[in-house]
Amino acid sequence: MQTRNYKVVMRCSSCAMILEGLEDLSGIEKVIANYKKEQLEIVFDETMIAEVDILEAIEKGGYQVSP
Amino acid sequence: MTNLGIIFLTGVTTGGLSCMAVQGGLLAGTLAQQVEKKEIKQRAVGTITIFLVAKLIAYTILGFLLGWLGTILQLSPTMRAYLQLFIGIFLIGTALRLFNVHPIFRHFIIEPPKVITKYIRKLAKNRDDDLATPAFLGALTIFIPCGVTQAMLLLAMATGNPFQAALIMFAFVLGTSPIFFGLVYMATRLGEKLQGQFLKVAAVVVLILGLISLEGGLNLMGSPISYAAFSAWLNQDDSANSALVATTSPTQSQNQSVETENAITIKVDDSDGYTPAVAQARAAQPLTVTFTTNGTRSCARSVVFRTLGLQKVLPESGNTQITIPSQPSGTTVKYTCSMGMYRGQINFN
Repeated sequence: MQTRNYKVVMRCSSCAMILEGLEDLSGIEKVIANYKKEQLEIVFDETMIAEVDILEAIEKGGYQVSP
Repeated sequence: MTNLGIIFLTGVTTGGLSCMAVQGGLLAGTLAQQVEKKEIKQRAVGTITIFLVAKLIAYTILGFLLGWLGTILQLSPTMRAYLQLFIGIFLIGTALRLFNVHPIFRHFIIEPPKVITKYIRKLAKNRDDDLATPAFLGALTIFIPCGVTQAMLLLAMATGNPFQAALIMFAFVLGTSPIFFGLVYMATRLGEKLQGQFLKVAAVVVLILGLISLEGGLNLMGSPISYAAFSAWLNQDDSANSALVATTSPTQSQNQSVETENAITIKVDDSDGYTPAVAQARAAQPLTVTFTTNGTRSCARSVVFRTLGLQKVLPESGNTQITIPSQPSGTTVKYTCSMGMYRGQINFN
């Protein structure tokens, strides 16, 4: 399992709820989104999903993400 | 009462924003189950409509309950003043958050427990082909209110009137419905720029509501720094020559009462509040104040003399007498409606 922290531009608190929907992706164990700090913590199984795919999913949702 | 038109406008401007962003996504999840079926559009219309109607009913009931909570708590005028001030500050903070002024304003939000948001997300993936799921989802959205919705809920609670509170939430959620419906139906998102514009309009409206609430709280406190206090101070300059005793000819000034035998009459109506707003009375003896109403429905019916610990709800139509205890010369007794929106004062000389 790997844990990554990202900085994500969140326009409102609902963005946090949307981003936590990433948990539905296969290979992602846990997602913790913090709107106040604009931080996203993702715990994932690197054998099932690559980090680049996670970043792509975030950006596809319309969010700017940086490590 | 806070203008329902402004509340509705707030709903319209936020309908395509955070409410849509979360709740629209949840709804799209249930609609996705019908992708392979025929007559998608008709089914989608029904599903979205059921979702929105359930949401409207749920929030109206929630508003009613919050308004009822406001009555059973029986807040003292001072506590109500503090509540108004808190709500005003929260609304202004929310507006500044929407304007993205500074990260510190991100704290002006109440976040639901993760377990609730997780449950609602799971429910949205329900593969059952029925209409109960969108109805249930719509009702459950009361647990995931967006920031502006939270501000509206606080406003509703501050009314201390279940029917007014229910109306506020009804107007707001109704305002969110058309844009919400359109965007979900077309399965589109607002462009980044357009979303930004909507956010700014919502922020302006919320800021206005926040300032109104703050003004109400300051008036209830009898603060000299409210806008109404400043206006009343300006009006006082015109009253320097008004009559004080029944035996002299009264000065007919538009904003001054005619006083006889230490009794005054104050008219209460929905548009002007209390007329006259500034009254004169004799000091060192009790004063009888007669409030007259005639089909009056606004919060002006709920009169609060905070410094005297007096609070009275007037009938819609009729004359109600209140006795003010003897006051020393030079005293000014201020009073407001329970929301701090209308105010008046009595000068004792």
